[in-house]
Amino acid sequence: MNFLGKCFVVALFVMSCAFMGAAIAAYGAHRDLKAEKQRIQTQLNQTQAQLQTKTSEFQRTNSSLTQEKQAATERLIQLESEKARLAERNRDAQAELDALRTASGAAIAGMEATQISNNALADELNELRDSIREALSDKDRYFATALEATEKFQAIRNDIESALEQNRELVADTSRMTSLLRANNLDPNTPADAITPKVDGVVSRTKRENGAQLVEISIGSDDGIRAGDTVDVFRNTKYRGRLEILRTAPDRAVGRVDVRFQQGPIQEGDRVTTRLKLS
Amino acid sequence: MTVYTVLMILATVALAVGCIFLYLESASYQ
Repeated sequence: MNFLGKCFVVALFVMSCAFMGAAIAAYGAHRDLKAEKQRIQTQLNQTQAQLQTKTSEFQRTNSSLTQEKQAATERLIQLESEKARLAERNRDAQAELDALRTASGAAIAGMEATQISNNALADELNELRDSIREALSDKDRYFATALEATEKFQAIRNDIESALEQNRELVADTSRMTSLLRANNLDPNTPADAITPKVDGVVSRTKRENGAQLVEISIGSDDGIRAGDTVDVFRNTKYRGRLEILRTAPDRAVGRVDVRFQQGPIQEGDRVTTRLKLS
Repeated sequence: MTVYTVLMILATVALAVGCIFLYLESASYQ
């Protein structure tokens, strides 16, 4: 074999090894392109569907935003008109407020004047009430005085009527006594001062003064006893003495014991009588 | 047997192995 054949053998060996390496490499780097294509296609379809969904959502959102923008614009226009109307109303209200303030100032001034007048009237009313109260108290007092005077007047009138009645009875008694005296041949004009009435009483009290014994007896001027009369004093049936009347009162009298006729001590409870007279 | 004979045998074996892998690769696309 010559040199050229050796070179071909070596070249054939080298290329055979290269072929085997390439085949092994191709087999080792095997890829399923169909499945890859299918997967990429599926992913593409999904992406397109998502794109369509997003596009429709975008359009819907866009239309919604457009409507909202339009509504907001209309609302803005309405608010502008409302603002203008409220501003006009505010001006009217301000003008009305100014007018009311002016009227309120006038009313306050009038009210103050009325209050002053009211205070004056209240003071006057209080004075009038005081006057009325005083007048009522005076009226009550005068009424009480009039009532008391009326009672006194009635009492006096009753006394007068009683006195007149008693006077009529006394006149009748006098007339009857005068007739009786004349029927018994007695002069009705005889002075009665010299006649001592016949009455009985008791010694109510005794007292010794300036050496003389004073005796108080239970009969007085209502019984006809007068100063200067004499009364006799008895205890049971025994004569005790004689008293000379010094002073008299309507229901009692005071006499001095006449020692010339005294026949025993005179004590409280002794009887006195006017049967005897010392002339 | 010379070295060149061995090289020829190895070259044949390498070609056979390369053909087998190529077949397997082509079979996978069927």
